[in-house]
Amino acid sequence: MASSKNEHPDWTEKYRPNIEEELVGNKEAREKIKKWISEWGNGTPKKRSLLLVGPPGVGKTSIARAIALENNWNIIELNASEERNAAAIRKAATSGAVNKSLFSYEGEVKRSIILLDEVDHMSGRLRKVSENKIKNNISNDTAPSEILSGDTGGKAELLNLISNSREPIILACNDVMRFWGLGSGWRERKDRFLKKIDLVNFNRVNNSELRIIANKVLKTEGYSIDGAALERLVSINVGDIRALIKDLQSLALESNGNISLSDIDKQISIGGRDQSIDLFPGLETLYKSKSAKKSQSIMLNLDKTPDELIAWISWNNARIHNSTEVISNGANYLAFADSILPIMYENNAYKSWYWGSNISALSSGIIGEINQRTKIFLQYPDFLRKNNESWKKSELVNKISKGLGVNKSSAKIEFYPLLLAFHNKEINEDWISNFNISYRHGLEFSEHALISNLVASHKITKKLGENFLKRVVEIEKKIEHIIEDENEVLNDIPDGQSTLF
Amino acid sequence: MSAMDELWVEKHRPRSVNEIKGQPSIVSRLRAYADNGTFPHLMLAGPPGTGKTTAAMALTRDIYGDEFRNNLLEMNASDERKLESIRTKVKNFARTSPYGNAPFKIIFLDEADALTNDAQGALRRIMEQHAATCRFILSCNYSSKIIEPIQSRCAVFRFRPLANDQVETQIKFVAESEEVELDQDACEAIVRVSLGDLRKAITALQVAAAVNKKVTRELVYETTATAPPEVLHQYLLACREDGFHAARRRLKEILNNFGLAGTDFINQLHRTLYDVDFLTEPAKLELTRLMAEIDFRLVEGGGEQLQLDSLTAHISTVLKNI
Repeated sequence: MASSKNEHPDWTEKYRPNIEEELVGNKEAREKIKKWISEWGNGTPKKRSLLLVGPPGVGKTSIARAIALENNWNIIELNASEERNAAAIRKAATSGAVNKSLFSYEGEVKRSIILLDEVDHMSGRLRKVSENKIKNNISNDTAPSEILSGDTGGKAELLNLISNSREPIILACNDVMRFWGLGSGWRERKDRFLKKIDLVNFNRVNNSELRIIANKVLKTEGYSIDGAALERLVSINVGDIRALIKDLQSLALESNGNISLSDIDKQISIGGRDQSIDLFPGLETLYKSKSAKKSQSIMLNLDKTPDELIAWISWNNARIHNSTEVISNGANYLAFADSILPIMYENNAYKSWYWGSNISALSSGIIGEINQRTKIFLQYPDFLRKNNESWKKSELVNKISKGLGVNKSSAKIEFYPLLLAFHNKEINEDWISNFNISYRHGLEFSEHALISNLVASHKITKKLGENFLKRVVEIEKKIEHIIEDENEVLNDIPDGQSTLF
Repeated sequence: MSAMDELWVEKHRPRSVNEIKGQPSIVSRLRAYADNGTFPHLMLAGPPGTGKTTAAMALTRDIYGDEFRNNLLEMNASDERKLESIRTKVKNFARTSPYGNAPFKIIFLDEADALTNDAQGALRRIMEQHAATCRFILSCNYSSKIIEPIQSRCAVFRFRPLANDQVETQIKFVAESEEVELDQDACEAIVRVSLGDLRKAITALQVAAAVNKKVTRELVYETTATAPPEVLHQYLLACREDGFHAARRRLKEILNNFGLAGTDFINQLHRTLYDVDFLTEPAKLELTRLMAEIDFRLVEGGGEQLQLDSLTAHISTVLKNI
């Protein structure tokens, strides 16, 4: 890090590594990226794009920039602070090619890395916009009604780009589920992207690596830190290099040259960051509180919204309380609290947040006896994790009800069993090749697998999945032609609906 | 006699970080920022009335002096929460160079937790790219509504609800400088009605002092339309000891004497509920649920007489069974 020459006022920028070797942590991921980069030396690799996935502050953007600097390549960055519609992406990609002819010496080809950061914040799904519209937007010769706004068509153009690019493309994001897009069709989008890109996972950086970084930065800046203080500081910034350096700069500014443990404790009392890995501190004290008064004051300091509280407490009540009576009692109160929360959208005068937070906080500890001395083991609520079976089934029922124009309960009670019967191998002989119903209702393969009672790990399931996807892509292609012909009308159809019919 | 033509909240709002009372550890960190004339992006999280805006403005003023408005963009994120506002308004301000000799500009995003997820996504890179010329101060009530990558880019300050004695000190200070006579009981009453919100407390003091320069406990409760805790306790006692009719009569008295509407009564009753000794803790939970329900029916247009009768009857039943 001593090689940092810039005098950026913000230490996190000042100490952003300039060469790949200076990066710390995630060695495996970095090796994978280096190998892929070296493949670009001998033509175009099989996958032209990498998707770096991981929590914030672990070096995803840094490695892309370091590689570009080190190899003396251009870097073209497009992040979420800019619009990323189809035209913007096309423009960025082609500017790579333009740079090549302008700036390279004779015979030397200067590469460009295209870095699309924060792709999980690209809105919209895979719907395309017409080729003409893109060209018009790039040439600035655009009728006002034609101007692409926001991220319109961005993802489709991205898919096009990573299929055809002659330059390496690095995508980065925190939440890969968000990138595939929520709602129907995410599995297909995921499969289509994964055919073209390799996924590289970044993990939180471990503590010894964080210590190394902290020491380097402080030494360069002429500060020192006590051992215990460093230990504590590292423990509150789980795996986040940027947050660590940010804290160091704040602490150093206030210190007289040395950072001590009491400085860190002060820092903690001022404020820590939320990290999605933690159980939140304070939940345990809430469970051990014996009075309503105490529960309320803990709740006021928790900084959690009532719906979060309800989720956490209802999940953990069932683990912590033993008596069924207590659990059911608590569940009743929580269900009540849950039912009043949406009212705030209809009637602003009703203090549903106030009541919701109070009722949920009181429904944790004081509803039953809790042994004060035993350690309580709390857990992350399972149903907050996406993607479980019941989630899948309810999506499926939604699709059937929309497709048939019946309400959800008839879809569930009358038609769902019928679908199961159609795809039951004992009843229907050609169950295995019969995708018709699933196509008609826009089901994804995983949903098809659910009604066909297919086990995900079996070979046949995989094979069927490939066939299924092949057909989906064929059908989509046909539709795109139709859309291009009448795109004015069809462009207004919300995402997802135009995917299959 | 001091004049009554000014809002005391404005008059006594700290102009400099050095004048901020309360939140001592936060203030000492801010002071270091002000002395050095620079700071990282900040995220100020905490309930209303705990000094977030005051702190942000005082810091800004300390750094730029009185001409601070030239280099400040103030935006209430709940008014402009869309992606487009961030990509246009914020970005344009961030990338132009500071006015005068200022080293950087400041963007103060109030209620940043109202920004949509995509708007926050756009914000994070602006914060990074323009860090040299522009600093962000985000304020929010719930930090968990701010995405992790933004928190990772900020120094985080958590403002706690002010402790009672902190509010008390402030109130006494304002009372003294405004030449208001304020006894201890009256001061405690103000603390109680303000619920840790300093803004509310100072306003309550000014309203009472407008009626009489000698502020008493009774005056505070009267002018803020708040029933004192012992009166509310008596209602609960009546529910337990004297039965429905007596309790209903007492409730009517309270509404008349303090000029309360049904929902005010319920909200005030709930604030003392947790302090009542003769209730078991589970009973407090049950009564909370009951009050939430009656409150809901009232704001949805239920008849006040009928709903409050139902409240009294239910409370009497719950209290008899414990």
